[in-house]
Amino acid sequence: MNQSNESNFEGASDDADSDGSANVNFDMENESVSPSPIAGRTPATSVATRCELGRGLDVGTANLVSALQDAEGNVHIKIQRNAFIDIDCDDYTRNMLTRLNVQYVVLSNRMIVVGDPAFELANIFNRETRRPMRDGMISSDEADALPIEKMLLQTLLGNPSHEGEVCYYSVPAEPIDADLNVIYHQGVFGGLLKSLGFTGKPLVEGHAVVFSELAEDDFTGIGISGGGGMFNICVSYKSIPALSFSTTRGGDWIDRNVANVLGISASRATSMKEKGVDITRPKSREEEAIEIYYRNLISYTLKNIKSRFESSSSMPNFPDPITIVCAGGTSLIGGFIETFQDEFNKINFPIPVKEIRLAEDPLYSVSKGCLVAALSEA
Amino acid sequence: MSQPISVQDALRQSATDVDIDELTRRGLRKVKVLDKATVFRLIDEAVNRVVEERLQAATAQERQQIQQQARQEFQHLVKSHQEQMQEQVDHQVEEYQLRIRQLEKQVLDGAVPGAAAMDKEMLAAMIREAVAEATPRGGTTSGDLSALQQSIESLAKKVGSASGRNVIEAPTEEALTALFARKTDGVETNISNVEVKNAKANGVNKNLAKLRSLKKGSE
Repeated sequence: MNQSNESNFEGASDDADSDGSANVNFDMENESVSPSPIAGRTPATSVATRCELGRGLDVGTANLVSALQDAEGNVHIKIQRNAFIDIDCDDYTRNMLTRLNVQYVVLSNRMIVVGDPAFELANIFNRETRRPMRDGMISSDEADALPIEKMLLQTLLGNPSHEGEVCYYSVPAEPIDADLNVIYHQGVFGGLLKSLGFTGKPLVEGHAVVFSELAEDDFTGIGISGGGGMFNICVSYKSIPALSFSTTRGGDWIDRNVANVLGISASRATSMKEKGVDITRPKSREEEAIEIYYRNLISYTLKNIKSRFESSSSMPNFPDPITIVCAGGTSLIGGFIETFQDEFNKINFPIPVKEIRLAEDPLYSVSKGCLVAALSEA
Repeated sequence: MSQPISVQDALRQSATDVDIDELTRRGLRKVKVLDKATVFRLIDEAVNRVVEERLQAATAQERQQIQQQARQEFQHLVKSHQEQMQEQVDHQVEEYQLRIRQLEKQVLDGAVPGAAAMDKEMLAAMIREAVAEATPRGGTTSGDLSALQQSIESLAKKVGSASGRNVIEAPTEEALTALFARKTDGVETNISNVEVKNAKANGVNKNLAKLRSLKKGSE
């Protein structure tokens, strides 16, 4: 199954192996607890690991997630918050960031903090993070988006095991509620991966969820990826996508609206949302605002799915009731599935559904699905 | 004494506004166009011609005859003018339609030079320019032709909007590679020295085996 190759992933050794795996160094440790709210990730001891060829990459508006499987069958995930923030560039700041292991880049005489620390800094100073992507696509508003994105991907993927190693990356399906250009976005990330030495292959996000979560159902059912910028939906029959589309409301839409009604920054609203809220039991005015917009988002998504199903001529006739599986960072909030089920019960869904469930690893589901696609080519 | 006739009012009352799209929907491809100034000119010409000939010895019977002849002459001139105008308008409409069909085809085929780098605004502007180029030249202007042009402009906008998604393509690999190389070369950063958040997840071998068996089954 494996191919023999050298790898330089994360400073890999040059040892060649004869069993077909690629030799890579991969950080096997979990991140250490940071003493400072903006502290970065302490480099952990790298352990030489044999990994199978092929990578999965979730290109999300909120997070970038990479997946790689080692020869023992463990999947290694790396995550970067897809955000950055610029601060004044001086020696003191540079030294401080270096000491705290915070990732930074100097562009146009501005110091740009990238990833999770950018998000944490934004919360501290009640500022907004800058985002390389918006509504699921590469942002046209951010002049620094491309170089930042390339660096973020470099930290996640490292170097390929061999020139042209396949990396499946997620792309949104055509949005049904906005005239956004998926082709350009797809081309940019394909080119970006190529510049890093990979052969990038796009996979529709909802289809990736099907690959990672619906194996037990013969890859038949509905995969939904609730991301920061979009909800991506894929109806699949025996692994073949029958219908894929997206809507341009996601976690960011909730954050923006919660921020508006509460008079806070969207970054702070994101932070509140990610601190263990259960939308079936809101305990404060802030949580109530989150619950209201979550419910509205779920209802909006379900109505769109229903309407799209009813108007599509390519819908398969499923012989048995199907499973709906929800993934993505936006589905991580407490009570998501209960609220989803609640809203689902309010509409007359056109397909018999036996189960609505959360993905095994909601945040990693898309990258794992991309990994399945990549490994299936090896 | 009868009330003086207002030709302008009479024309306005007799005329019906029909949108060019509506005509197209009815399957009509040709329109007859006659502008107000021409109508007045034709009437003047007919009346003057007849009146000059018969003015001096006009009995009641002759006046009636004059009116009759004037009417016939007017109808003849109108008919002649209509035919002349119709030819010009038909030709103009065909020119517009051909130009639009060519543009639409070029846009959809991606054969418009530089289309890969165009956005829908640029495409719409390009088509508007083409429509302006095809505007009637010489003395054939009329309100109806303006309406036709507006309709075509509207179509140009629709083409621009609809083609936005189809036409904008990914930049070339060479261009992207050059772009990414240029943007990050020599940038000061510690990004590769800091480990990012990582985690372990369950393997995907089961999924992989299932997918492969499905693929085999379908072969």
